[in-house]
Amino acid sequence: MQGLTVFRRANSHMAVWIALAALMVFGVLRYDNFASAYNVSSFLGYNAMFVVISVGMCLVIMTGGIDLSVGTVAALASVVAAILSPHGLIVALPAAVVAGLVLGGVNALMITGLRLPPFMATLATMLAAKGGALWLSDNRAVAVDWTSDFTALGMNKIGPILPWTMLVALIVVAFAWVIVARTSLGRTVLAIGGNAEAAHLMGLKTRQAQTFVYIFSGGCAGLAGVFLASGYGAGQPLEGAGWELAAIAAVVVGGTLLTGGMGSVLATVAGALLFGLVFNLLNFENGRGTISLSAHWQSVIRGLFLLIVILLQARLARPSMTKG
Amino acid sequence: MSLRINARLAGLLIALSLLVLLNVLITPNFLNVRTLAVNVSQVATIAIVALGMTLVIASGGIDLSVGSVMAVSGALAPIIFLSDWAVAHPTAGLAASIILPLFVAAMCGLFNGAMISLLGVQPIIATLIFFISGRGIAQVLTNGNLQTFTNPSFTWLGTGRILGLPVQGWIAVILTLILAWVVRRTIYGRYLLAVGGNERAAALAGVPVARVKIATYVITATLAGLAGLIVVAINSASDAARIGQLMELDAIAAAVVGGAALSGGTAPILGTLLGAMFIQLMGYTLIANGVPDETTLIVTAGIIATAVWLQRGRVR
Repeated sequence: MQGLTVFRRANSHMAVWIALAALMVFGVLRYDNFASAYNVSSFLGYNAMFVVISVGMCLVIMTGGIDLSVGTVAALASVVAAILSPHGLIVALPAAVVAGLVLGGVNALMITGLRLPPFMATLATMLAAKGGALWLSDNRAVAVDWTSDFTALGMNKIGPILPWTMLVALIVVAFAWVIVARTSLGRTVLAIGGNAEAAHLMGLKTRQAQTFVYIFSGGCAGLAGVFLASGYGAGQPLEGAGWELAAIAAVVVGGTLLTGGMGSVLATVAGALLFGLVFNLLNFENGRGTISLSAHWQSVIRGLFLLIVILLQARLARPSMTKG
Repeated sequence: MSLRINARLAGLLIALSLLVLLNVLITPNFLNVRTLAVNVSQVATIAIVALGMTLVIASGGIDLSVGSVMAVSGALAPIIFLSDWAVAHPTAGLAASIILPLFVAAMCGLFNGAMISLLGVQPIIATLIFFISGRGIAQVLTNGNLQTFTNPSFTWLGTGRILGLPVQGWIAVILTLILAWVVRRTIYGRYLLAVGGNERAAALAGVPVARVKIATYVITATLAGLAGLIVVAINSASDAARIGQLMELDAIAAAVVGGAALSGGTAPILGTLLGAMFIQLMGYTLIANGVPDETTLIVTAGIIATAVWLQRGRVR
């Protein structure tokens, strides 16, 4: 029985890797410049921010919670980073990440201290962070200082392919993976998602673990905000709408169930890249000129992808559910 | 149980009255039919969607797709009544441009409900699918263009007045009364609360859980479709990218301030109407007195958090 569950679990994680590989092969075979250094590096650069917020979201969802505030927290952090950009990356980056950590802390406080449902607590933070971003930015995009080294993070790459932002994102991914797979904190995170009450009664530090995941998710959102400001040259108070749902979708496509208790950090990364790749392929398809799918199809196709993956997962999950 | 709900309603009524009183004292030109009409027309669509959201929340679910459903129905209506056929047959065309979008909206709800109750997909995920793709479908339908039109009989839905108040306000009130009756006095209403209170127990007691849930999502989507039509009628224009944006959050906020518990099992329909009115009036108060938008957002966040917190204390 145990073996079967593990097999199914591996299966639902495999699906996203197979889909990602299939789309990549399709892209390489069909489009000339798909595998070019330029396309690969801009793809990785653009998706770095979605990878980090998805990883933060993944840990939150493993505990059975949700964080709706990541998009507006990232927007707020991008404004903070842009305002502080004249002082260089060394000041702007930590300050924006700290802003994210603090808002994550507010979420954690409302959820573990006041015992508000995560959905509502983070919804309130989502609105408040948007208000804060508009207030700080005086309601418009804040240009970064191009003379400082701030934009180096978002514009430069290591070698021909790897943008700095993606490298930082991968370090965050590695950190999250180590936490989940190798530490007692990670075990507790999964235990809360499996059965919060049992985890608490077993003497696990559930509050500590919950506090950690929300603060971590806030920090990830803060970092995504830095990527945004640094890559696009402006702090954008109105950006980030719908990011939380994109992150949730990436986590779900990666096979992490919203009920918590299991999941995979790495498959979440694959899920985030999968959604980015759909967009990238659509651009190439339009570039060929045979068909012209407007940008609006992008969301339709993303929705279809989500539907297909969920249908597959529902098939995988069903038999094990009935057996208890 | 009912005493508790009444206490909550009374609390909301008192809060609303205080807010009105405050406005009478500090807001210029507050006691004015025009001010009333502006507020009613702004709150009506939120209230209509929030009524459906309350039912979904009562069943223990959530519906993120309402804004996208609004966009789909709002995009469809002008396409229908601007078509050659509808121009040739104005009456049938008008009827079709209201009935067809509502039918399509109901089908969206059927999809949501089927995913949730037949496949066992979690509500937030199942409705996320249509949240992501629905607006895209609406934009594909209209090619992303803004559709403007002049069609007095259709725009009556959004700009007409009955007894000096906007039509959509009356629609919201009538729907509130109907749904309040449905929740209290029909078998469906009893089943809904049973499913939301304890789904397993309800299923064992013979409640047709799947059908109740599907019906709930169909009702919610249909109400969202209606709200989409009203928004388009108000503007005499349909912009698929904007109709109903962030509506899911407004509706959830109104339902929660009105006393709905996210864990399910309660459906305070009257409270939802009052909750929507309270949030609207609070926003109006701040804006009318020169408080900037961003502060309004932060205040709304505070209201939501406080409302949920008050609820926690009540439940356990």
